[in-house]
Amino acid sequence: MPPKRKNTSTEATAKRSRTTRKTQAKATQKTNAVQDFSKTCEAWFNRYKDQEEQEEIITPMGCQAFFNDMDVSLDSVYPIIIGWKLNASRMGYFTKDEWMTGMKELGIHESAKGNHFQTFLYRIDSPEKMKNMVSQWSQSIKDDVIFKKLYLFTFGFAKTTGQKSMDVDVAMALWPLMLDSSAYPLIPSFIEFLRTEKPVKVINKDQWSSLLDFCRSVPDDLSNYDSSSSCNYWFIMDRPVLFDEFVEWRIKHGDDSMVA
Amino acid sequence: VDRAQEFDDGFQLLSEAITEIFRKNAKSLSYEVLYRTTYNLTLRQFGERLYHGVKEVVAEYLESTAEEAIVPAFVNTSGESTGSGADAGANFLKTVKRVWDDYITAMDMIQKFLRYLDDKLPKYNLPHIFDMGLALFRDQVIRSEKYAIQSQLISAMLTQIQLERHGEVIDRTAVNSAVTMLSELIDTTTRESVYVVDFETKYLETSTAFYQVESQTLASSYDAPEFMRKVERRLDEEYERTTRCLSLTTEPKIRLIVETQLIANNLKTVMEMKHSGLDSMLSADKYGDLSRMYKLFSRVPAGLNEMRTAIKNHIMQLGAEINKTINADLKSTSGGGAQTAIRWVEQVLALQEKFDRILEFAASKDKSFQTAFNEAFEHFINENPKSAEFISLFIDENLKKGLKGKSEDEVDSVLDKTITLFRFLCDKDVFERYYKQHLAKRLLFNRSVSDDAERGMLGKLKRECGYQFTNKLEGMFNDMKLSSEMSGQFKEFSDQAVTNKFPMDLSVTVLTSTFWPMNLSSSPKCSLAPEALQACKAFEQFYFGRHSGRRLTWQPQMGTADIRANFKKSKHMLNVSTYAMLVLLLFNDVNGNESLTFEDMQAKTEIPENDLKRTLQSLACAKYKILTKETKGREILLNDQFFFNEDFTANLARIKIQTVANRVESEGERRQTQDKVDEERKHQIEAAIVRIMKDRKTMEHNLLIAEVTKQLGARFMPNPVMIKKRIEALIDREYLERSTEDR
Repeated sequence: MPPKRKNTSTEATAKRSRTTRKTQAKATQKTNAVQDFSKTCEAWFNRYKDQEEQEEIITPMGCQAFFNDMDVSLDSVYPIIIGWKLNASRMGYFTKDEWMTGMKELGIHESAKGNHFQTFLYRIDSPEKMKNMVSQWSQSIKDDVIFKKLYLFTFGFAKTTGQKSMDVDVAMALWPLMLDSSAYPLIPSFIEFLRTEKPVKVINKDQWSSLLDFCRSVPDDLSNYDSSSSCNYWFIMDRPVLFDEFVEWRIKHGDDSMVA
Repeated sequence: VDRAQEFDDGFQLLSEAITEIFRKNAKSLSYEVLYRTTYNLTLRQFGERLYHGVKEVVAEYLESTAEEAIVPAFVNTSGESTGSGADAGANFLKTVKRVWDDYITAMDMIQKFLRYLDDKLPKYNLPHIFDMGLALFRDQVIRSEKYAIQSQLISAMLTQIQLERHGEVIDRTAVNSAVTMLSELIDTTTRESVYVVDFETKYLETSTAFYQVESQTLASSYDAPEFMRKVERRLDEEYERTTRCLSLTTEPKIRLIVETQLIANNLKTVMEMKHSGLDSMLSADKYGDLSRMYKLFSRVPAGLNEMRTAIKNHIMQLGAEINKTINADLKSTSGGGAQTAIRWVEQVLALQEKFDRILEFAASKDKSFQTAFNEAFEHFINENPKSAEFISLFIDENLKKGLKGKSEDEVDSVLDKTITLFRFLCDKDVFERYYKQHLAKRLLFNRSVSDDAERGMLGKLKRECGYQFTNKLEGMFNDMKLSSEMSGQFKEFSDQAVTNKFPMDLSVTVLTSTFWPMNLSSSPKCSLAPEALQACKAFEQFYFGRHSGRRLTWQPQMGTADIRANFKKSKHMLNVSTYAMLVLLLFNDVNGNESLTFEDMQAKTEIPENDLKRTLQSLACAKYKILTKETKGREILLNDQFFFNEDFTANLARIKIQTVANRVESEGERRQTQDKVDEERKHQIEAAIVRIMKDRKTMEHNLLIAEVTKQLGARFMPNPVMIKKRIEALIDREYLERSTEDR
């Protein structure tokens, strides 16, 4: 370490002190802002938290209110997007940790896109601010890559906590929500198949994850399907057996199985 | 003036000489004079003129000869009887030959004295004299535009051949000389001989037509063997005629025609002829006919393929018949079934031997035929879901009784034959399961006729399938050996024991559970008689003293017992199953006239119902009736009453009561076995997948399935859908994951 230089000019010192003061002022400002934000955010959380629970958590009732305040429909994909962005672990619930950390991270993340001088000014601590974000997000998921991330997240989020797989009823409710039938025309048919044939009781992670790729790679008339039982064994599709069964069912029942 | 005169004089001399030569008056000529004249004329630059002059003379001669000698000999083709027609044809040919011979001789002489000119001709771009002569003959005589010599000639030749084909004797030299003549003449446009251009083409055409008719005639008039003999004869005949009489170059062409018309067009017809075709030849082992068929069919491109496929189908049909008959037998016979299984094996082996002989004697060990036969066997053997069981039962029967008294070589050959059948099995793991079951019973009930034979069989299986297949079986043998060693020690132990003395000799075989095909969870818990229980406890004491950390589970359904039985008139030593022993001991507590019902015995011994029924059948309904049953017949009902048969007698002092003879499995049992096999296969597939993926790290889906199939193929043919399901199961358990790359 180089030896300390003796202070030669006073101007430099003055300058340094001024800088230091400025930084300190800013720092204080920052800390105050941070504290303010925490308070607002917490207050916002407390509006919805379950009064009966011991630990601080928002339960489904509170969630409902939360979404209502933002004019977010419960029957849409938005609650899931919000859960995703806040990195929640269980659909319908927000722990205080998740809430506080999530909102803070979101604020930093979202405003980092803008002018860095405004870094600590942008906070999400009210429904209005959140509403803004939501409309931004709904645009962003139009990108396939981003949407895939949301879709994969949803499995862990929406399945029964503690269970390895998702109840097939839950899956059947979520898929039409997330995979719109105009962009993914196989979905209604697939759900019909699950409903009538009842091939499985739960949907596992592999099946959930593979469905998106399946829909994207197979045309709706299933014209590139290779029946592994009828022709050459070696061209078996690399996808879960459940989908093979679906395609066989489709071929057997023709188009009258399509649900409008 | 002089010059012209010189030429005319010289030329006249020469042309007169030529004429004389044609008139066969060559003797009167002086070679020297003619040569000198030619020499002079040529030297004096008259060569070309001389050439053309000579040519004219020769042409004139040919013209007149054609008219005078050849045309009169024309065959009159209007409705004359064949006899004179044949002769006329031959005569015509002879006439032509005579003309030709004379001509050639003459031309030879002529070109000799014109030698000096002849040498100079190339300078003038003119052909040699002799060649000119040939060309003239060709154009003026053979292909004369004035007279129909060509058609007469060709027609005469064709007719002669046709007559010979119909069995008449002809003058071959006449034909042959015509051929020779035509072969020497060259067709300028094609550079081929006139023989080829004028004769051969037509010959092949008419031959095709002839053989088309012949084909139909033969096929409709004769049965398959005779047809083939006739075809052979035709082939030989044509070959002989072509090589002796026509040109060698024609041979492959005419052969092709005969082969195509008679053989290639009749492949299916011959094979499918009723009562004499391929099927009946195969059934009756007609090696000669089959061999002839093989030779004939090998001449045409599709022939052997057709024959091979037809025989293959025949074998598959016979095999299917065997399967059907045997399966029907199984359904009809009530007991037994083991005999039926053995019959199946024997019939299949006989079929194999039959076709081995056919392969050797009829198809000269053609490898492609061997492959086709094997495919046929593989097909129908694997079509029968019970074949693995049957083969195991066959081996079982042989190792128990069948090989008694046979020499080592005979034993070896029987076992080798079963190995050849074993090789055809697709699902070898099913066979292994049955073999284990049967071997277990043989070892435990001490039914093997020879330990050497058992080991021999094991060695053969090991050579076929490797160590993995047989190591459990060897484990079973090992257990038997260890147990017999241990029994000596147990005897010492129990002799020395102060407490827990039990009044019977106990011999225990300790089975390592992973080797033996017993299902431990389903081992029946029956109530052992107190003496037996004591003995078992004593053994356990002995055993746990030597080995810690092990668990013993008694298997009463597999044991045997020797019991001394006292009847009214005699005493006997009975060798019975453990269950039977328990049943009989019950009668010790029963008075002479009292009986026990089935339900009683069931309650006291707790032996499972089906086993108890079988035990009672062996004691009361078989050859030696130790007990008597009230009701008649083999059927055991719940309230049947059983009495101890005091009046029992037999000649032998020692009697063996057999309970369980090996039967073919019922449908339910077979499904159970199949389930177990499937269960094991799931594990094998998963193990293979994990092994492969550990090695390769990433792999494309279909390649993985292919690799798994390859690795497991020696044991069984894995179902690709099953493999796929196992992959998914491994994904679920997070051993594998799908690649996240976009496809």
